[in-house]
Amino acid sequence: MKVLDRRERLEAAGAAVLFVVHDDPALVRRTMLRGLDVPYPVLVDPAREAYSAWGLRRASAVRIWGDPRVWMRYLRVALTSARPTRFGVDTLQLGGDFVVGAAGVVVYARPQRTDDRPPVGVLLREVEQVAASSPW
Amino acid sequence: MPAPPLELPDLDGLRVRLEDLRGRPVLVSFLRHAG
Repeated sequence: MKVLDRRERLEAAGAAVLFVVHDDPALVRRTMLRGLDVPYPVLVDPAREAYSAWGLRRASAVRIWGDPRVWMRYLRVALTSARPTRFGVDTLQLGGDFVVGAAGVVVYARPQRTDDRPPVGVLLREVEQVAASSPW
Repeated sequence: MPAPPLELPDLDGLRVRLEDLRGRPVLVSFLRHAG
């Protein structure tokens, strides 16, 4: 959710943002969204049908838990949480970032292969390119 | 590639459709898990 720090650029581009989660809404509010001001819809997909439709798979346990960067991230979350952290039901589910153009075509797709995300600057550039090439 | 369908409830139960945002760029971010 690092894009939240660049809200002004998203708004300048006229962009909409949709977050999608698969965990229970109460848990999402207590963990991911705690202390955050999220002005965009957070959609809930418990059956993960949208994840599947957008090509997002589950990673192997080795791919996720064999990566020391993942351990560091989880450790950071645990150390900065006021209360014991509870994680979602499936830590192997992968996410991804997509930019959909004004005509409803995917112009950028970055499904995760491990617990990684593209730099926010890359996503913003894609969004701004769509905005610059759109007729409005 | 046309975007796959995306129509889901938000945290408050209100249905949101990607198609309704047609005409503007949309960043769709699927998150891994809560925690």
